[in-house]
Amino acid sequence: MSSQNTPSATSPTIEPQNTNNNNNESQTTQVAAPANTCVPNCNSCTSPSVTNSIEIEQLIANNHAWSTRIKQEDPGFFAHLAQAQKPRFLWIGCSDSRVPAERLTGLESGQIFVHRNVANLVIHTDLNCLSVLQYAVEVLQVEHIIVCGHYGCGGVAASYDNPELGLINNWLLHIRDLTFKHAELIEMTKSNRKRLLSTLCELNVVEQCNNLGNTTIMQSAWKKGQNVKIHGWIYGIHDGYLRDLGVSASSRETLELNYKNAILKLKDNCSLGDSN
Amino acid sequence: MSAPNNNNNNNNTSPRQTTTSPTTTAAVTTKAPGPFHSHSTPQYLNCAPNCNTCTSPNVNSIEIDQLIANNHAWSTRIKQEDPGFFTHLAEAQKPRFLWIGCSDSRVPAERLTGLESGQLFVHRNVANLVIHTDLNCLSVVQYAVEVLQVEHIIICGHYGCELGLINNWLLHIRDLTFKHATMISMLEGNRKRLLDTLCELNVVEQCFNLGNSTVMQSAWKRGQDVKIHGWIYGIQDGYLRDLGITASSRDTLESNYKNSIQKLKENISLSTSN
Repeated sequence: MSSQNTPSATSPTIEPQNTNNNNNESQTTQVAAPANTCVPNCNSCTSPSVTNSIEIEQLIANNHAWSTRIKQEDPGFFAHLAQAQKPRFLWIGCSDSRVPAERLTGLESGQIFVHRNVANLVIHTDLNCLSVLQYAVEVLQVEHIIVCGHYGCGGVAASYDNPELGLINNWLLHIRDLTFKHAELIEMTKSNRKRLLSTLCELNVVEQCNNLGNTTIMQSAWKKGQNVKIHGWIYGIHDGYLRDLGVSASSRETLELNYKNAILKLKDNCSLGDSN
Repeated sequence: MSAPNNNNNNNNTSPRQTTTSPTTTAAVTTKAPGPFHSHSTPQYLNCAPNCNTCTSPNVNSIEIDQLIANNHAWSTRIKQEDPGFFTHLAEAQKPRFLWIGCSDSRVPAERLTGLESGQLFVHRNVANLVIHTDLNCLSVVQYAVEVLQVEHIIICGHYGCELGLINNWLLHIRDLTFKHATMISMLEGNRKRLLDTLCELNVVEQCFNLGNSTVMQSAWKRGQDVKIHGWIYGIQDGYLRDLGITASSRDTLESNYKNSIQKLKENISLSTSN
């Protein structure tokens, strides 16, 4: 999600687009599947529109072309995949359409278990995220959990600017709370809005890692000696790079220590005037 | 989702799949002989100068550091192919689609649909549930519908989803087996068929839940053009199938929901298999 930039730094609002017919011109032109590569009698094939808009039917047409090509390249691919999933990684990331977990990490089907929500939050009472976590850690036995935020997160910006968006304001309060919890850090970056929001994006990742590590699921896993590690990463949509924020934790002790170190590092970066 | 063996060192040597996009963002590797090849060494020469995340990969094992190395190689290659790609992407996101799918590692939304960065807003949870009081999912829907103004919402389940676990979250699906006891009893003798039908039924019900949310009811009431679709994905063959519950209004939601349930029952009566 991206926030709309307005001249006023104190009261910008995220206005929804007022047209329902907005076309998303993608970077690359979508090529509709040639008819002969779909299954016989496939009724999802459609003639592609001359405009640059992607209609819903094309998604299934794309899918059939993809599936057919995969099976031509490797006849046993799907049969193998259908047996079981054994991902070693769990990704907790933002719903933002520009942050696709598999593409950013170069991982294939079957290799990364994924949960995505607005602003990559891990909330103590959120049964949605906690159920993902429990399944990943206890059943799938993943070895690494990556909490990945991104610069330019619209949810983070909205938490700071606090426009009246509706239901989601309740969700974003968890980030807004961080601006009070870490008021000193926010104060240091107040004069530079871009810098402030980038720091808040990083701070949010660090805090969500801390939340994650303090769940009963992680505490139980570490207590019984399970080898599972938490990582906090930030992604730059502007350059496509993932960066490790150094809040990795593999135990209750390293969680507490590295959380403090990560917060201190953020403050040091602000003092030194580093830019992301 | 299937439970793995309790071997923490198990290697997942799944073969590489390609996307339908003309610009492939996945790293290109030489395919090894045999049905399932190991991933070859990424092209570290493509990494950024002074990249300190490059490491020597373990044989057949993907370490956490390699994910960032993969990323740097990918980012560098994208910028070589299209210098303005990320700059353009950073301006704003304008996805026309919201995907609500399963967290299962074998159901990657963008890859299945051939969509690129910026085109698909995504929420994934265990068994693609849309629960009335779940602020996680509802916040995603509200943001997508009211702020991003998406035009299509796809709820996508998949065959082989492990629905039998006993926990609080999946009780919502267990409730469906009681709500639709007649349909479930028709399938008592065929476990695979029963579970496949339950996966389909779950998608239909989650579409119904979504359509009845205040977010969707408000959107339709003010005349917003946003459609709900219910799809099912076959991990065994890689195909997406439309379950026909598409709704674009309060009225079509109710009629298409009833039609979809009826269709599931008829499929069972006819003993057709998916």
